[in-house]
Amino acid sequence: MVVVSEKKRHLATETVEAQPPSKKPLEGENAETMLKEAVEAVEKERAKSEDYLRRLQYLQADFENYRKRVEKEMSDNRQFGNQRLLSEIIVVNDELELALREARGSNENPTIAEGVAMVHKRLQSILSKEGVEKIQSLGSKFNPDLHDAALRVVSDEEEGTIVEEIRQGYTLKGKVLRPSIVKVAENPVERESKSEKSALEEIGDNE
Amino acid sequence: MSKPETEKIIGIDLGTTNSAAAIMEAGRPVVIPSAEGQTAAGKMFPSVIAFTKEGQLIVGEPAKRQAATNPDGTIIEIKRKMGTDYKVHVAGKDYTPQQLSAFILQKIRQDAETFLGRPTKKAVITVPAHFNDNQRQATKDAGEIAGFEVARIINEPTAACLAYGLDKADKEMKIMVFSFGGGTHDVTLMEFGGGVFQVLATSGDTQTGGTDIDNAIVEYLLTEF
Repeated sequence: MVVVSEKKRHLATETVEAQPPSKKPLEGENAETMLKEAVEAVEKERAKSEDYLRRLQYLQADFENYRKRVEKEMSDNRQFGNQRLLSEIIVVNDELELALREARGSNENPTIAEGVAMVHKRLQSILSKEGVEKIQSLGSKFNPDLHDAALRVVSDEEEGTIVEEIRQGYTLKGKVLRPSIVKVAENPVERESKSEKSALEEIGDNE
Repeated sequence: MSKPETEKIIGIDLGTTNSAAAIMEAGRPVVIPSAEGQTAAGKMFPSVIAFTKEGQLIVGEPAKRQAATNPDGTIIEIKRKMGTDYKVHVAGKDYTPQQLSAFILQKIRQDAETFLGRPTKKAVITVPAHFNDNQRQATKDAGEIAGFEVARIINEPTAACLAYGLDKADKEMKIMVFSFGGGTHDVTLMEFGGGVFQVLATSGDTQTGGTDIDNAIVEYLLTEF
Protein backbone atom coordinates (compact mmCIF):
# COMPACT_ATOMS: atom_id res chain seq x y z
CA MET A 1 0.00 0.00 0.00
CA VAL A 2 2.71 2.38 1.06
CA VAL A 3 4.67 1.55 -2.00
CA VAL A 4 1.74 2.27 -4.20
CA SER A 5 1.03 5.61 -2.57
CA GLU A 6 4.73 6.42 -2.81
CA LYS A 7 4.59 5.62 -6.47
CA LYS A 8 1.47 7.74 -6.88
CA ARG A 9 3.11 10.67 -5.19
CA HIS A 10 6.13 10.18 -7.35
CA LEU A 11 3.96 10.09 -10.44
CA ALA A 12 2.13 13.17 -9.26
CA THR A 13 5.34 15.13 -8.81
CA GLU A 14 6.47 13.83 -12.13
CA THR A 15 3.37 15.12 -13.87
CA VAL A 16 3.74 18.45 -12.20
CA GLU A 17 7.35 18.50 -13.22
CA ALA A 18 6.46 17.36 -16.71
CA GLN A 19 4.66 20.62 -17.25
CA PRO A 20 7.36 23.21 -17.31
CA PRO A 21 6.26 26.81 -16.64
CA SER A 22 7.32 27.78 -20.16
CA LYS A 23 4.41 25.78 -21.60
CA LYS A 24 1.72 27.70 -19.72
CA PRO A 25 1.17 30.55 -22.25
CA LEU A 26 0.91 27.91 -24.98
CA GLU A 27 -2.03 26.36 -23.21
CA GLY A 28 -3.63 29.81 -23.21
CA GLU A 29 -3.01 30.08 -26.91
CA ASN A 30 -4.57 26.68 -27.38
CA ALA A 31 -7.63 27.80 -25.55
CA GLU A 32 -7.75 30.92 -27.62
CA THR A 33 -7.57 29.06 -30.91
CA MET A 34 -10.08 26.58 -29.62
CA LEU A 35 -12.37 29.40 -28.68
CA LYS A 36 -11.84 31.04 -32.04
CA GLU A 37 -12.61 27.78 -33.77
CA ALA A 38 -15.67 27.32 -31.68
CA VAL A 39 -16.87 30.84 -32.44
CA GLU A 40 -16.24 30.26 -36.11
CA ALA A 41 -18.12 27.01 -36.00
CA VAL A 42 -21.04 28.68 -34.24
CA GLU A 43 -20.99 31.49 -36.79
CA LYS A 44 -21.00 28.96 -39.58
CA GLU A 45 -23.86 27.08 -38.00
CA ARG A 46 -25.74 30.30 -37.43
CA ALA A 47 -25.29 31.32 -41.07
CA LYS A 48 -26.43 27.88 -42.08
CA SER A 49 -29.50 27.98 -39.89
CA GLU A 50 -30.29 31.48 -41.12
CA ASP A 51 -30.03 30.19 -44.64
CA TYR A 52 -32.30 27.26 -43.76
CA LEU A 53 -34.76 29.58 -42.11
CA ARG A 54 -34.77 31.86 -45.13
CA ARG A 55 -35.32 28.92 -47.41
CA LEU A 56 -38.03 27.58 -45.17
CA GLN A 57 -39.79 30.92 -45.08
CA TYR A 58 -39.45 31.21 -48.82
CA LEU A 59 -40.84 27.74 -49.30
CA GLN A 60 -43.63 28.49 -46.86
CA ALA A 61 -44.57 31.66 -48.72
CA ASP A 62 -44.31 29.78 -52.01
CA PHE A 63 -46.52 27.05 -50.65
CA GLU A 64 -49.01 29.54 -49.25
CA ASN A 65 -49.31 31.23 -52.64
CA TYR A 66 -49.59 27.89 -54.34
CA ARG A 67 -52.36 26.83 -51.96
CA LYS A 68 -54.28 30.05 -52.59
CA ARG A 69 -53.89 29.61 -56.32
CA VAL A 70 -55.01 26.00 -56.24
CA GLU A 71 -58.08 27.03 -54.23
CA LYS A 72 -58.88 29.71 -56.76
CA GLU A 73 -58.33 27.29 -59.61
CA MET A 74 -60.64 24.79 -57.98
CA SER A 75 -63.38 27.36 -57.63
CA ASP A 76 -62.80 28.44 -61.25
CA ASN A 77 -63.00 24.80 -62.24
CA ARG A 78 -66.30 24.43 -60.47
CA GLN A 79 -67.57 27.47 -62.30
CA PHE A 80 -65.98 27.00 -65.68
CA GLY A 81 -64.95 23.35 -65.65
CA ASN A 82 -67.30 22.42 -68.45
CA GLN A 83 -66.13 25.29 -70.61
CA ARG A 84 -64.39 23.03 -73.09
CA LEU A 85 -67.31 20.69 -73.39
CA LEU A 86 -69.73 23.58 -73.78
CA SER A 87 -67.64 25.23 -76.48
CA GLU A 88 -67.84 21.97 -78.40
CA ILE A 89 -71.56 21.66 -77.80
CA ILE A 90 -72.19 25.10 -79.24
CA VAL A 91 -70.67 23.86 -82.49
CA VAL A 92 -73.24 21.06 -82.49
CA ASN A 93 -75.85 23.72 -81.82
CA ASP A 94 -74.59 25.63 -84.88
CA GLU A 95 -74.98 22.55 -87.02
CA LEU A 96 -78.40 21.84 -85.66
CA GLU A 97 -79.47 25.37 -86.53
CA LEU A 98 -78.09 24.91 -90.02
CA ALA A 99 -79.98 21.64 -90.42
CA LEU A 100 -83.14 23.28 -89.16
CA ARG A 101 -82.82 26.14 -91.61
CA GLU A 102 -82.29 23.66 -94.47
CA ALA A 103 -85.19 21.47 -93.40
CA ARG A 104 -87.53 24.44 -93.08
CA GLY A 105 -86.37 25.88 -96.37
CA SER A 106 -86.94 22.75 -98.40
CA ASN A 107 -90.32 22.01 -96.81
CA GLU A 108 -89.90 18.41 -97.96
CA ASN A 109 -90.25 16.69 -94.69
CA PRO A 110 -91.99 18.82 -92.07
CA THR A 111 -91.90 16.06 -89.46
CA ILE A 112 -88.10 15.94 -89.54
CA ALA A 113 -87.97 19.72 -89.33
CA GLU A 114 -90.21 19.61 -86.30
CA GLY A 115 -88.11 16.90 -84.69
CA VAL A 116 -84.90 18.83 -85.23
CA ALA A 117 -86.59 21.94 -83.83
CA MET A 118 -87.47 20.04 -80.66
CA VAL A 119 -83.91 18.73 -80.22
CA HIS A 120 -82.60 22.21 -80.84
CA LYS A 121 -84.95 23.67 -78.26
CA ARG A 122 -83.86 21.14 -75.67
CA LEU A 123 -80.20 21.82 -76.38
CA GLN A 124 -80.87 25.53 -76.01
CA SER A 125 -82.45 25.02 -72.63
CA ILE A 126 -79.50 22.87 -71.47
CA LEU A 127 -77.04 25.52 -72.60
CA SER A 128 -78.94 28.30 -70.89
CA LYS A 129 -79.18 26.24 -67.69
CA GLU A 130 -75.38 25.93 -67.76
CA GLY A 131 -75.04 29.69 -68.02
CA VAL A 132 -74.39 29.95 -71.75
CA GLU A 133 -75.86 33.09 -73.26
CA LYS A 134 -75.97 34.50 -76.76
CA ILE A 135 -73.89 37.57 -77.51
CA GLN A 136 -76.04 40.30 -78.99
CA SER A 137 -74.40 41.64 -82.11
CA LEU A 138 -76.64 42.83 -84.88
CA GLY A 139 -77.21 46.58 -84.74
CA SER A 140 -75.01 47.07 -81.69
CA LYS A 141 -71.65 48.78 -81.60
CA PHE A 142 -68.61 46.66 -82.32
CA ASN A 143 -66.85 45.64 -79.10
CA PRO A 144 -63.58 43.72 -79.50
CA ASP A 145 -64.14 42.04 -76.12
CA LEU A 146 -67.19 40.27 -77.54
CA HIS A 147 -66.93 40.48 -81.31
CA ASP A 148 -64.39 39.40 -83.87
CA ALA A 149 -64.43 41.63 -86.94
CA ALA A 150 -64.08 39.62 -90.13
CA LEU A 151 -64.44 42.54 -92.49
CA ARG A 152 -65.76 46.03 -93.04
CA VAL A 153 -68.61 46.77 -95.37
CA VAL A 154 -69.60 50.14 -96.76
CA SER A 155 -72.93 51.08 -95.24
CA ASP A 156 -75.21 53.95 -94.32
CA GLU A 157 -75.16 52.78 -90.73
CA GLU A 158 -73.05 54.58 -88.18
CA GLU A 159 -69.37 53.68 -88.41
CA GLY A 160 -68.57 50.73 -86.16
CA THR A 161 -72.09 49.30 -86.10
CA ILE A 162 -72.43 45.58 -86.63
CA VAL A 163 -74.35 45.03 -89.86
CA GLU A 164 -74.10 41.27 -90.17
CA GLU A 165 -73.32 38.33 -87.95
CA ILE A 166 -71.35 35.54 -89.59
CA ARG A 167 -71.20 33.31 -86.55
CA GLN A 168 -73.13 33.58 -83.32
CA GLY A 169 -70.99 34.19 -80.24
CA TYR A 170 -71.65 33.00 -76.69
CA THR A 171 -70.67 33.91 -73.15
CA LEU A 172 -70.43 31.53 -70.22
CA LYS A 173 -71.36 33.16 -66.91
CA GLY A 174 -70.24 36.51 -68.25
CA LYS A 175 -66.97 35.24 -69.77
CA VAL A 176 -66.61 35.01 -73.53
CA LEU A 177 -66.92 31.40 -74.59
CA ARG A 178 -66.67 32.21 -78.26
CA PRO A 179 -66.73 35.71 -79.77
CA SER A 180 -69.25 36.56 -82.48
CA ILE A 181 -67.75 36.87 -85.94
CA VAL A 182 -69.23 39.97 -87.50
CA LYS A 183 -69.17 42.44 -90.37
CA VAL A 184 -68.77 46.05 -89.30
CA ALA A 185 -70.14 49.14 -91.00
CA GLU A 186 -67.77 51.48 -92.72
CA ASN A 187 -69.35 54.85 -93.39
CA PRO A 188 -67.31 56.84 -95.94
CA VAL A 189 -69.45 59.97 -95.52
CA GLU A 190 -68.96 60.01 -91.78
CA ARG A 191 -65.29 59.26 -92.27
CA GLU A 192 -64.80 62.23 -94.59
CA SER A 193 -66.02 64.57 -91.92
CA LYS A 194 -63.51 63.19 -89.50
CA SER A 195 -60.65 63.15 -91.98
CA GLU A 196 -58.31 65.23 -89.87
CA LYS A 197 -57.87 62.14 -87.76
CA SER A 198 -56.98 59.93 -90.67
CA ALA A 199 -53.26 60.69 -90.55
CA LEU A 200 -52.87 57.26 -89.01
CA GLU A 201 -50.24 55.06 -90.46
CA GLU A 202 -50.19 51.33 -90.69
CA ILE A 203 -47.17 49.18 -90.16
CA GLY A 204 -48.84 45.85 -90.78
CA ASP A 205 -47.04 45.53 -94.12
CA ASN A 206 -43.63 45.99 -92.60
CA GLU A 207 -40.40 45.15 -94.38
CA MET B 1 -40.22 36.74 -37.72
CA SER B 2 -40.21 39.01 -40.73
CA LYS B 3 -41.53 37.67 -43.99
CA PRO B 4 -38.78 36.96 -46.46
CA GLU B 5 -38.45 38.54 -49.84
CA THR B 6 -40.57 36.27 -51.98
CA GLU B 7 -40.74 38.39 -55.05
CA LYS B 8 -40.97 36.22 -58.10
CA ILE B 9 -39.15 36.82 -61.32
CA ILE B 10 -41.42 36.25 -64.25
CA GLY B 11 -40.11 34.85 -67.50
CA ILE B 12 -41.43 36.51 -70.63
CA ASP B 13 -41.51 35.21 -74.16
CA LEU B 14 -42.01 38.41 -76.13
CA GLY B 15 -42.85 36.93 -79.50
CA THR B 16 -43.37 38.29 -82.98
CA THR B 17 -46.87 36.85 -83.28
CA ASN B 18 -47.72 35.69 -79.77
CA SER B 19 -46.44 36.43 -76.29
CA ALA B 20 -46.61 34.58 -73.00
CA ALA B 21 -45.16 34.62 -69.51
CA ALA B 22 -44.46 32.06 -66.82
CA ILE B 23 -43.35 31.84 -63.20
CA MET B 24 -41.67 29.11 -61.21
CA GLU B 25 -44.01 27.66 -58.66
CA ALA B 26 -43.21 24.74 -56.41
CA GLY B 27 -40.21 24.06 -58.61
CA ARG B 28 -42.09 24.02 -61.87
CA PRO B 29 -42.83 26.59 -64.53
CA VAL B 30 -46.47 27.69 -64.64
CA VAL B 31 -47.74 29.67 -67.62
CA ILE B 32 -49.63 32.80 -66.63
CA PRO B 33 -53.01 32.78 -68.39
CA SER B 34 -54.05 35.81 -70.37
CA ALA B 35 -56.88 37.78 -68.74
CA GLU B 36 -59.19 37.17 -71.71
CA GLY B 37 -59.01 33.48 -71.04
CA GLN B 38 -57.87 30.59 -73.12
CA THR B 39 -57.81 31.15 -76.86
CA ALA B 40 -56.93 29.00 -79.84
CA ALA B 41 -53.30 29.78 -79.08
CA GLY B 42 -53.64 28.43 -75.51
CA LYS B 43 -52.56 30.70 -72.71
CA MET B 44 -50.56 32.89 -75.08
CA PHE B 45 -52.03 36.04 -76.53
CA PRO B 46 -51.39 37.77 -79.85
CA SER B 47 -48.66 40.42 -79.84
CA VAL B 48 -51.07 42.97 -81.26
CA ILE B 49 -51.53 46.54 -80.08
CA ALA B 50 -54.36 48.82 -81.17
CA PHE B 51 -55.37 52.41 -80.73
CA THR B 52 -59.10 52.59 -81.29
CA LYS B 53 -60.84 55.50 -82.92
CA GLU B 54 -62.19 56.36 -79.49
CA GLY B 55 -58.65 56.77 -78.27
CA GLN B 56 -58.56 53.56 -76.28
CA LEU B 57 -55.46 51.38 -76.13
CA ILE B 58 -56.06 47.65 -76.38
CA VAL B 59 -53.58 44.79 -76.41
CA GLY B 60 -53.83 41.11 -77.21
CA GLU B 61 -56.85 39.11 -78.33
CA PRO B 62 -59.33 42.05 -78.47
CA ALA B 63 -56.78 44.09 -80.44
CA LYS B 64 -56.51 41.27 -82.96
CA ARG B 65 -60.31 40.96 -83.19
CA GLN B 66 -60.76 44.60 -84.10
CA ALA B 67 -57.88 44.67 -86.62
CA ALA B 68 -60.19 44.40 -89.64
CA THR B 69 -62.20 47.43 -88.55
CA ASN B 70 -59.19 49.51 -87.64
CA PRO B 71 -56.19 48.53 -89.78
CA ASP B 72 -54.64 51.98 -89.47
CA GLY B 73 -54.64 51.90 -85.70
CA THR B 74 -53.53 48.29 -85.31
CA ILE B 75 -49.90 47.37 -84.92
CA ILE B 76 -48.66 43.84 -85.47
CA GLU B 77 -45.25 42.17 -85.43
CA ILE B 78 -43.48 45.12 -83.85
CA LYS B 79 -40.72 42.77 -82.73
CA ARG B 80 -39.37 42.81 -86.26
CA LYS B 81 -38.58 46.50 -85.82
CA MET B 82 -36.82 46.21 -82.46
CA GLY B 83 -33.45 47.94 -82.34
CA THR B 84 -34.11 50.12 -85.37
CA ASP B 85 -34.94 53.81 -85.68
CA TYR B 86 -38.34 52.91 -87.07
CA LYS B 87 -41.22 54.90 -85.64
CA VAL B 88 -44.90 54.19 -85.87
CA HIS B 89 -47.13 57.16 -86.33
CA VAL B 90 -50.42 56.20 -84.78
CA ALA B 91 -53.24 58.12 -83.09
CA GLY B 92 -51.43 61.39 -83.71
CA LYS B 93 -48.19 60.36 -82.01
CA ASP B 94 -44.88 58.73 -82.87
CA TYR B 95 -44.06 55.53 -81.06
CA THR B 96 -40.78 53.64 -80.98
CA PRO B 97 -40.80 49.83 -81.21
CA GLN B 98 -39.68 49.84 -77.56
CA GLN B 99 -42.69 51.86 -76.46
CA LEU B 100 -45.07 49.64 -78.39
CA SER B 101 -43.49 46.45 -77.05
CA ALA B 102 -43.81 47.99 -73.60
CA PHE B 103 -47.61 47.98 -74.05
CA ILE B 104 -47.47 44.22 -74.58
CA LEU B 105 -45.22 43.83 -71.54
CA GLN B 106 -47.52 46.00 -69.46
CA LYS B 107 -50.40 43.69 -70.27
CA ILE B 108 -48.25 40.74 -69.21
CA ARG B 109 -47.49 42.53 -65.97
CA GLN B 110 -51.15 43.13 -65.26
CA ASP B 111 -52.02 39.52 -66.07
CA ALA B 112 -49.20 38.32 -63.84
CA GLU B 113 -50.29 40.53 -60.97
CA THR B 114 -53.87 39.33 -61.29
CA PHE B 115 -52.70 35.73 -61.40
CA LEU B 116 -50.27 36.01 -58.50
CA GLY B 117 -52.31 38.48 -56.48
CA ARG B 118 -49.32 40.73 -55.77
CA PRO B 119 -47.04 43.15 -57.57
CA THR B 120 -44.41 41.81 -59.92
CA LYS B 121 -41.37 43.88 -60.69
CA LYS B 122 -38.63 41.57 -61.87
CA ALA B 123 -38.57 39.90 -65.25
CA VAL B 124 -36.40 37.87 -67.56
CA ILE B 125 -37.17 38.46 -71.22
CA THR B 126 -36.10 36.14 -74.00
CA VAL B 127 -34.80 37.24 -77.39
CA PRO B 128 -33.84 35.30 -80.51
CA ALA B 129 -30.23 34.12 -80.49
CA HIS B 130 -29.54 36.20 -83.59
CA PHE B 131 -30.57 39.47 -81.90
CA ASN B 132 -27.68 41.97 -81.85
CA ASP B 133 -26.78 44.30 -78.99
CA ASN B 134 -29.11 47.04 -80.22
CA GLN B 135 -32.05 44.69 -80.39
CA ARG B 136 -31.26 43.28 -76.95
CA GLN B 137 -30.96 46.75 -75.48
CA ALA B 138 -34.25 47.77 -77.12
CA THR B 139 -35.92 44.74 -75.54
CA LYS B 140 -34.49 45.65 -72.16
CA ASP B 141 -35.67 49.24 -72.61
CA ALA B 142 -39.15 48.01 -73.46
CA GLY B 143 -39.16 46.04 -70.21
CA GLU B 144 -38.13 49.09 -68.24
CA ILE B 145 -40.74 51.29 -69.91
CA ALA B 146 -43.30 48.72 -68.85
CA GLY B 147 -42.10 49.12 -65.28
CA PHE B 148 -40.10 45.94 -65.02
CA GLU B 149 -36.71 45.55 -63.52
CA VAL B 150 -35.16 43.41 -66.25
CA ALA B 151 -33.05 40.87 -64.38
CA ARG B 152 -31.69 39.39 -67.58
CA ILE B 153 -32.14 39.10 -71.30
CA ILE B 154 -31.62 35.49 -72.33
CA ASN B 155 -31.56 33.69 -75.64
CA GLU B 156 -34.74 31.87 -76.57
CA PRO B 157 -32.91 28.58 -77.31
CA THR B 158 -31.16 28.82 -73.93
CA ALA B 159 -34.54 29.28 -72.26
CA ALA B 160 -35.78 26.19 -74.10
CA CYS B 161 -32.82 24.18 -72.78
CA LEU B 162 -33.46 25.42 -69.25
CA ALA B 163 -37.12 24.47 -69.55
CA TYR B 164 -36.10 20.92 -70.39
CA GLY B 165 -33.69 20.89 -67.46
CA LEU B 166 -30.64 20.36 -69.66
CA ASP B 167 -28.64 22.63 -67.35
CA LYS B 168 -29.00 20.01 -64.61
CA ALA B 169 -27.09 17.46 -66.68
CA ASP B 170 -23.59 16.78 -65.48
CA LYS B 171 -22.05 16.24 -68.87
CA GLU B 172 -21.02 18.36 -71.78
CA MET B 173 -23.23 18.17 -74.82
CA LYS B 174 -24.20 19.74 -78.07
CA ILE B 175 -27.81 20.73 -78.51
CA MET B 176 -29.84 21.74 -81.51
CA VAL B 177 -32.89 23.85 -80.76
CA PHE B 178 -35.47 24.14 -83.49
CA SER B 179 -37.91 26.89 -82.73
CA PHE B 180 -40.96 27.17 -84.88
CA GLY B 181 -42.74 30.35 -83.94
CA GLY B 182 -45.76 32.18 -85.22
CA GLY B 183 -43.89 34.60 -87.43
CA THR B 184 -40.34 33.28 -87.56
CA HIS B 185 -38.36 30.14 -87.19
CA ASP B 186 -34.84 29.58 -85.93
CA VAL B 187 -32.38 26.77 -85.63
CA THR B 188 -29.65 27.15 -83.05
CA LEU B 189 -26.71 24.91 -82.27
CA MET B 190 -25.46 25.22 -78.73
CA GLU B 191 -22.82 23.72 -76.56
CA PHE B 192 -23.37 23.10 -72.87
CA GLY B 193 -20.67 22.57 -70.32
CA GLY B 194 -19.81 23.76 -66.85
CA GLY B 195 -23.19 25.38 -66.40
CA VAL B 196 -22.84 27.60 -69.45
CA PHE B 197 -24.73 27.49 -72.72
CA GLN B 198 -22.71 28.75 -75.65
CA VAL B 199 -24.36 29.51 -78.97
CA LEU B 200 -22.23 27.94 -81.70
CA ALA B 201 -24.36 28.95 -84.66
CA THR B 202 -27.81 30.27 -85.26
CA SER B 203 -29.82 30.78 -88.36
CA GLY B 204 -33.39 30.88 -89.48
CA ASP B 205 -35.97 32.70 -91.46
CA THR B 206 -37.39 35.81 -89.88
CA GLN B 207 -40.25 35.88 -92.38
CA THR B 208 -41.60 32.36 -92.12
CA GLY B 209 -43.58 30.87 -89.27
CA GLY B 210 -46.71 29.04 -88.26
CA THR B 211 -48.91 31.92 -89.38
CA ASP B 212 -47.71 31.35 -92.94
CA ILE B 213 -48.83 27.75 -92.74
CA ASP B 214 -52.21 28.90 -91.41
CA ASN B 215 -52.50 31.36 -94.29
CA ALA B 216 -51.47 28.70 -96.81
CA ILE B 217 -54.22 26.40 -95.51
CA VAL B 218 -56.77 29.22 -95.72
CA GLU B 219 -55.65 30.01 -99.30
CA TYR B 220 -55.91 26.38 -100.23
CA LEU B 221 -59.40 26.05 -98.77
CA LEU B 222 -60.50 29.24 -100.53
CA THR B 223 -59.26 28.13 -103.93
CA GLU B 224 -60.39 24.54 -103.53
CA PHE B 225 -63.93 25.11 -102.23
